[in-house]
Amino acid sequence: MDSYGYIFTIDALLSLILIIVIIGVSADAMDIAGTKITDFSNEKSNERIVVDLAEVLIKTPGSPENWEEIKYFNRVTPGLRDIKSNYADNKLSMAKINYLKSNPNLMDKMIPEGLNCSLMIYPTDPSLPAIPVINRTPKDDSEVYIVNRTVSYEYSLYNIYSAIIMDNLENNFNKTGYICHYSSMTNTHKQPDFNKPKPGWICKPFKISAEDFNSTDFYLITYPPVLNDKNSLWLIDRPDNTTGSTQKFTKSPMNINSRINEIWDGNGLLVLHVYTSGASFNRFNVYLVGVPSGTPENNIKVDYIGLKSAYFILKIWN
Amino acid sequence: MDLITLDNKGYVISGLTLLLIIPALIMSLMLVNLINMDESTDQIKYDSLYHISNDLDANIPVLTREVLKENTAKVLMDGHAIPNSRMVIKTGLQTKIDDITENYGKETGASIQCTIKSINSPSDPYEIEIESEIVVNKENNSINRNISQNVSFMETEPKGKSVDCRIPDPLPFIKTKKYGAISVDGNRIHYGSTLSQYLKSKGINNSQIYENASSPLYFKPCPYDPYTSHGSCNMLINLKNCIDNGYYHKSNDGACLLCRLEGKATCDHMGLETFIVPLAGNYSELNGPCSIDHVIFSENGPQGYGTYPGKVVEYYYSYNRSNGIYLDNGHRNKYGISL
Repeated sequence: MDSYGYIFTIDALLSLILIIVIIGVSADAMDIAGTKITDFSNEKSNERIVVDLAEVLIKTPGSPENWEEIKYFNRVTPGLRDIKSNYADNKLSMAKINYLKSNPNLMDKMIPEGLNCSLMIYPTDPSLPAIPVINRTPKDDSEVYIVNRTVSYEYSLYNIYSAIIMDNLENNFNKTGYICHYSSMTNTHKQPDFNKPKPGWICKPFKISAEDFNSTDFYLITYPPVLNDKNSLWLIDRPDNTTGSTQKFTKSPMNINSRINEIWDGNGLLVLHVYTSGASFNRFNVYLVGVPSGTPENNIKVDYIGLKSAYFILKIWN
Repeated sequence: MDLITLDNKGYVISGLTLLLIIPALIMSLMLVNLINMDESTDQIKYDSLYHISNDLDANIPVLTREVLKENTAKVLMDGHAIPNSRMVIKTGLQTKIDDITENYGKETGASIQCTIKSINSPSDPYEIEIESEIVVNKENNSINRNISQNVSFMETEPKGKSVDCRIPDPLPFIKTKKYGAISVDGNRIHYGSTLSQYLKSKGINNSQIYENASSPLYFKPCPYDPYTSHGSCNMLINLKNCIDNGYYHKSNDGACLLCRLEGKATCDHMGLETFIVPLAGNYSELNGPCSIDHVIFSENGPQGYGTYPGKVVEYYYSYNRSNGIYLDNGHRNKYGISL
């Protein structure tokens, strides 16, 4: 204390005020920076979660690999990659997609608590229907993080039991040809030759499980839907039951439940035989497909068969 | 020069010092941000290493099939068994992997090492188990993965692919090498006199039955599953269709592919068996060596062979010629053929 009774000099007081102001401003700045860092960190964290989740779903078949066949999924980690495809193909399994669709809570186990997600698969061909795997909508005020990847998949509704593809057949036929019972016993089902051209039969075996038999409608689909090969015929029978008669392809798709019911014996091998006139320019493809019982016939189109590309859109939000 | 002019009485911090604290604080904040950015960069680098390892992972099945095809083709050419086939396949696969990793390393700037640790026969005889370790290093980041893959060598439809990925059965070529050449016609092996000579050299009765016999060339899984359905139908038509198409069947006794490459007809692993079919009409004998490949080629008995007889099963008759095979009771049961 000086002779005037002041503890601080004016200089000291001014310095103190300046220091307090600077500390205050710095503290405020730090607070703002801290908040921004937290926001940034959360944002980065959510971005990473959605990217990683997409990677896990697209690039892995899940754990265990056949998780879609398991009834109890306490220790299941879903992945959608088709087990038969390569890592780089981004090919998804429709069986896994459908199973995840009917058990959306499996996805909730893969994201942190407090987050929500949706997963849609939009085919690049707009005529194909979108697949809402996890169909949820974020609130208006939610901050949404999105990943968009290109994937491929075999269309969902169809299980292709047998496919006779006549394109490039001459290159592969001798390697892959199935010798049917007519060919080896009566020497009648000779192979076609598109180079000469020479008519003939293309035959392929297939099996239907008891579970599929009870829950599936069976169709023959041709491509093109109206065949130029007017002599084409089809027949389905068993090596040990050749009671069926050949039929023409009257329309596509063609319901063949009655024929399958007649010929299916529980566990035996069935054979699809297709006759072609052998004219190269009249080649066609035939698919024997199974769809869930009751599927409307107008939902069964040849366009839906085969590998389709699609956008895999995964969203997460708080 | 001090911006605020003060004397030396009682002042702890000079004005300039105070001003210096502010940039120091700002720099500290920048440093913290920089550290966070480094962490993000590290994560991106780690992801890139993971992708490299996955690419290698995806290449292993393709290369395995290539090595198997090369080795079986060599056996088909010279008829020599490959002793310790697992080691040979492992070395061949390692060489191919090394070529890929070297090129891949140059392209990506990463140090990549993929070591094939073992080749085994899994429970599915149409597969081979490959165990490998992939180590990828790049700029102080590294990833180490131990991978076990079951690679299928089963015949699949080429679907327009120019590469033929089917694997032929090497065993008949190894076993009959000493007795002359056998011919291949499409998907079947035609033994000519070699198989009957082979059986005769072992002192097996009725070896002449297998004069001009044939068997399938490529491994193809039989769709008549359960196997009892072969014989459960009228006139054994399923058995005929199975033989016509040259299918293979899972077998506890038959050798797996790796043991077949070593010239073994039987092994402890889950293996495969197929029918060796005598030429139509050669059925003057009611009994003959059992027509299962691992029985015909077995050398596990006290006399140097493990071949045992079977009774004739006629599965088709046409143009006064009968088609048949010889099966013992065990195999008749397996294929549902009445005793």
